[in-house]
Amino acid sequence: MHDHQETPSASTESQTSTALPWNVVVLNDPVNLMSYVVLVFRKVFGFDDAKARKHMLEVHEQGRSVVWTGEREQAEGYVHTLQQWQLQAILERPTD
Amino acid sequence: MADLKLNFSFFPGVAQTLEKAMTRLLEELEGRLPRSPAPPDDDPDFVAWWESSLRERFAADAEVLRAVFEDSDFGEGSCTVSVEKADSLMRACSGLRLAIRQTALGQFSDEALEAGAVTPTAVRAEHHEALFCFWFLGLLQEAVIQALNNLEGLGEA
Repeated sequence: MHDHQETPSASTESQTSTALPWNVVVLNDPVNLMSYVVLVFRKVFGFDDAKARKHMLEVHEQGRSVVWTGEREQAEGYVHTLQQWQLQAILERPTD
Repeated sequence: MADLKLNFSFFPGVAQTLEKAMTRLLEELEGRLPRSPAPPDDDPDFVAWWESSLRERFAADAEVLRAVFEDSDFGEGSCTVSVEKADSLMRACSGLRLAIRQTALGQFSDEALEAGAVTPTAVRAEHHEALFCFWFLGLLQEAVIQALNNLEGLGEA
């Protein structure tokens, strides 16, 4: 997927960066229904109803929710799936 | 697998108006995405793949929504959706609502939309059909979610 030409030090930094956990973040939007967001979380992440609602309420009340954390490639996959479901999802760099 | 049977109550002529408006909105969106994609990488090949796959997904979902309005029973206030197509239908409803939000409802703030403060009197006449489509798509989506929850025994969503 990626074709990088890198110096060894940059390559090491890239490997370290992809090894760090990445956050999948869902952002609030004024269109998607709360019940829909709950359903999407259950379907995409396998959350039970309570956990899906907890994350939905975080999105609704705080504007965002970190719904998954893990290695980059899988995180990208989740972001892609959530965008297919028309949710506003982004990948977030891990905090230092 | 079970089919989802959805029922609506329409005033005379409303179903036909909705069908025409939805068809027009879907045609306007053909080949495009309801909202700007946000690929997590700026590599051009990656971005191209990301956007292309999202467009393909939405195009397929939109076909399921189109089929609902083309169903001969829709004018009578009902439609039947297979469980397999329910996900596509819900995604298409969401996508079309997002597109309407960007265009016909673009003048309203997020807060106004979330508060349900957008009414026909606040919208220009040429956007009334889009507003009704926005509302109906929300109802349709809720109906599918409720029907799926009922199948799973979750009852009220």
